[in-house]
Amino acid sequence: MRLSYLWLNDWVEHGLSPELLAAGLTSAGLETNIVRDLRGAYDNVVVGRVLSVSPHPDADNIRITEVDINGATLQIVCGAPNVAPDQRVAVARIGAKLPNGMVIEKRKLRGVESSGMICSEAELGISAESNGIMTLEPGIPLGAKLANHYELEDVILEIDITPNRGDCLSVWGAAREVAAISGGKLRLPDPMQEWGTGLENFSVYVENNDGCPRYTARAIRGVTVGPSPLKVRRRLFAAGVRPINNVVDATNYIMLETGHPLHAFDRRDLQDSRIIVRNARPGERFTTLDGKVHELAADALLIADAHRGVALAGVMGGLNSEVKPDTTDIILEAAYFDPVCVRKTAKALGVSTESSYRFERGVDPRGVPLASLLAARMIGASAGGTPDGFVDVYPMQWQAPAIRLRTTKVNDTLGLILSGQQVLNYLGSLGFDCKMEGDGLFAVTAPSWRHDIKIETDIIEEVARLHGYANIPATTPRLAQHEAVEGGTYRARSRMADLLAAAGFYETLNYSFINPAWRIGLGLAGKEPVPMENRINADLCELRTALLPGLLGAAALNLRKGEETLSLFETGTVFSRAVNEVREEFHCAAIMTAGEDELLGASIPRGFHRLKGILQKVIKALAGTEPAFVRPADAVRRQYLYTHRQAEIRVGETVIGVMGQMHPLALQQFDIEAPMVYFELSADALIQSRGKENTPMEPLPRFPGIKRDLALLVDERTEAGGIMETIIGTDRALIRHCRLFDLYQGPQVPAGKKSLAFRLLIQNPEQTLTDKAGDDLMAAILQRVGQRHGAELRM
Amino acid sequence: MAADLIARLLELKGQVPSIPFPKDERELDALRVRYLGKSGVIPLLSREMAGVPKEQKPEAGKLLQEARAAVETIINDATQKIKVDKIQKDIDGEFFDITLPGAEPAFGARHPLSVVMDDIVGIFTSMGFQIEEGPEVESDYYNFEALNFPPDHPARDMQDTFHLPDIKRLLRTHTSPVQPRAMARYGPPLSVIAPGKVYRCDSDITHSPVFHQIEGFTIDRKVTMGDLKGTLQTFIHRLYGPRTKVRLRPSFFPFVEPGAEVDVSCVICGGKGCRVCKNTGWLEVLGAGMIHPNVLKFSNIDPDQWSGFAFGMGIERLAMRKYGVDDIRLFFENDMRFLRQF
Ligand SMILES: [Zn+2]
Repeated sequence: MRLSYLWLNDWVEHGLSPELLAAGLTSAGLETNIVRDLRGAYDNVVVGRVLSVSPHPDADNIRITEVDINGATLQIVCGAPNVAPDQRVAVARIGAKLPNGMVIEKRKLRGVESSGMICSEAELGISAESNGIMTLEPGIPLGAKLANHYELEDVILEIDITPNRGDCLSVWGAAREVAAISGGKLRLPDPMQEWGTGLENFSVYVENNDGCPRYTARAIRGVTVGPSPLKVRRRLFAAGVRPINNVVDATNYIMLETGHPLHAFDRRDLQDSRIIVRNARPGERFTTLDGKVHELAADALLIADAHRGVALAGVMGGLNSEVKPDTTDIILEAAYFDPVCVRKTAKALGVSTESSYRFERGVDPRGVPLASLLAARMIGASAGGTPDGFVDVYPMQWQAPAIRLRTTKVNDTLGLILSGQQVLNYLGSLGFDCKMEGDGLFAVTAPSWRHDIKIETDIIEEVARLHGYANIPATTPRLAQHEAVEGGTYRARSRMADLLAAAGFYETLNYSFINPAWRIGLGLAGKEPVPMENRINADLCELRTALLPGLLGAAALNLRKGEETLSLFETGTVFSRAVNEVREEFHCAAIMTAGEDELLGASIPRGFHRLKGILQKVIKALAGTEPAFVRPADAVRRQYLYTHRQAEIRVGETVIGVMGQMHPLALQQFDIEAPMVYFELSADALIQSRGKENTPMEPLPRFPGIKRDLALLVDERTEAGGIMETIIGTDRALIRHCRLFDLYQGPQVPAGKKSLAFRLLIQNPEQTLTDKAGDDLMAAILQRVGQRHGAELRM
Repeated sequence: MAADLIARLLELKGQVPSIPFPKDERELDALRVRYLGKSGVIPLLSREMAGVPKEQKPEAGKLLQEARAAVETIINDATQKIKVDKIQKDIDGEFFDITLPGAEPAFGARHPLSVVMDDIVGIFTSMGFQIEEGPEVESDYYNFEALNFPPDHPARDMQDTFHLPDIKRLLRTHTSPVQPRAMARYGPPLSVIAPGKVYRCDSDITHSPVFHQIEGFTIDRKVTMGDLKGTLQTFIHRLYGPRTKVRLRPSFFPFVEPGAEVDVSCVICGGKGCRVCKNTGWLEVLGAGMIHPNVLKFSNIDPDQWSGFAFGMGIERLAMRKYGVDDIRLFFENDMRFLRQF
């Protein structure tokens, strides 16, 4: 909310500069900043009188004026069409710096010297726009500073008002807070006075008392619609409200001042001279004064005359009954509408107005007639209307509940030792009514504008606010632990991410929602996706079932930007639908460019094996055991991977994920040409696969082992893994290690064959191994690989 | 003759300390030849030993040994010194280019948001908070109702929500639902830190529809607002250094009361005022407050027996400040030119 410092000063004596005021309000919970500072902005703007106006020799639309500023006559070139002799005008002298940033210098306009500027309201920062120069009332002394005669040198504060403090959405609301924090005196009028009676030839019926607990109507006769006085227009402009005419401006002005939205109807348009507050009828249509037609829901609250709606209660008036230039008699509405009711209506229509914003946050039900009275007085003053009766439909008097407040609870909550009297003083300064009910025990009633005060704690916050959070001493608690909290998988996931980063991968973060077309295009199956409503990007309308699409997007972006090799990963949640529930699982996935890599001397598309190697290490570190990589069954083969370059990742008996080389057609959908390898696994499954028991260490061998190399010739389509398994299976007790260290295919071996060279470490834990035992084992191995794989020793 | 030999041996012994210490290989060789060579001083004297009378042999032999040992010591010391000098000289004389680029191992990096998140989780767990995570798909009940957001209350406007209409769920708009979930699951006393992803329907240079928060809370007997201040002060001093000032000012979050916005003295200008802190000298870091009695009641915890505090912070905002990132969307674009910088 924008608040004029000068307007505020009408209602509270506080003695604070705008800066101190902002700081004070901020520390009391109303975050306040100075957004416009006009102090000194009119230093060189003075009152002048136009002596003469003559045409410019070279231009039709500008004129040369002579202006008397008492003691000097200035020649000023002026472009305004309304400039005329004898006008009193605002003159910006050379050196003036106007609120809009314009600096006045001596200059020539089409060859004619101009020593200043005759200002418009817009140039003076009083209005948003203006037609021509501003003319002043006669009688203001020439040469006087303009700011001495008009309210101009203001400071505009912006107060960020939290949803609970609807009572602060007005000058009065701010004034109450300022009085409480500064100890200054409030000058608000007594809300209990004589409002007037006797509304004749007009009736008000409230059908829905829940939606409208209080409705007042006041008749005003004989108004002359026209512009509002300068002061009113300036204050509205300062608050960010557009001036319209003296009747509407008065309702807006009093709303800004008191916090009560008001509405003025043209009495001619209220058919049968009546107002009915009722719910909308099914399918009822209504045109708001902005010209928009709305179809109303049945719970929308409507202000109607005998035949039709004339306003949406608390939201906006109707086009059919607004105040027009020739309006003479008006009905002024001031009411208390139910916050939820107004909110539902405004939400359903997708509108938010100054009025609905305030009603939603709760206005003061007891202050309704006062607002009506003040607006009527203002209309009387600016539009010449006379009051002509008032009616107040208020069947159930508002009564704020008395809340029990214990001083001990105040101190226990805040960590303070306040006395009952201190608590009373703080609450008293905010208008709370407190009755002592025992030792340190009070019955507290909040003022009628404080809808946020419902329970004891709400009152404790008020005490804390006024005592000052800064004055609560900091203490260090011993934090209670709960033995059942296990801590989940956060740390383990973080460790996995650290390991992948150490292995060369960069961590990415992708949105959790994707375009379903990506899932379908990739053929991601096995999980039923969860649709979502996305008002920012309607294409991204389902929750991801896998991290793959996001990673592909990230890879595509970087390749497009010229990266040649990439290693990216992400750890995050994936979602799938299970009956009426959503299953969430933490996944970890990585994608990597896969070039033709030299490994073991052979040139194979080898990103696959590099990624496999990384996974072996990372999974071993996290699960405690090495994973197995198993060719998937046809039914679960991923179509976005190469048919034969894919494997399921298993830890023990559990399949925790998949890895493989991306199918070129899948990559094509993301405009990726570079070959890429990928894995995705369930981080939850991986972390759970780690047993609770620690695997004990193996004792270090006490006897030396021997190393033997074994080069085998096999058919080129034989898998090395099977041979390795056969080798190790020959004697698991003696063969400690078996490592493939060379793979060769080429002119050195017969066509259709390849050479695989293994290095074995043979070791007997019980005794030193003899050469003979080694030889025997090698012979046994050779025989087995020959039988099972047709392998023969490469000579 | 024998007396003469002893006299000459004594003379040799006298000479040894004044033998000049050889400075290089050449002087060393000369010394070796002069004293130990075939016709060197010591072998010559040694040959004369045969003619020494028996009763003088022990004395002459001892003198000869001592002379030989003394000369050998000089030669050994010199040999060692010349060798060391040569190594040092070679090292001192070489050209070596330390400006050649380092051969980097193929390390990747964590995402800057993860780094900040892990740091903060680490601080809180070391203070005694236990990690608890909640689901990202939430019910209206846990995300709003149990946190004292009444239906149709303007407080709900503070958090623009993504809905999952098919299953009447939503994407959580904050990590606060972990509060009622943990309360229901464990009951008091309890101290929890809850990191995670959250979602709001909002996108510009300071808002991302997906972002991260950390929520923390404790419930125990007689937890006070002073405890909240002390806990947050400890945290902020560990995050930003012990000289950082902490300021609490009243604010509104439906699930805490009294509620507070927590500011720290600007980490850029130290409180003097700069562009980052909009000349206020303060930066907003987190929201906090005493857990609202209604929230406790929703979880069947008696607010007259138990009390607690809660706080929450956005990770992106902290990371943006830490690394001077001015567009939040950079965190989710995954541009390598960005990711490589961390
Ligand atoms: Zn700063």
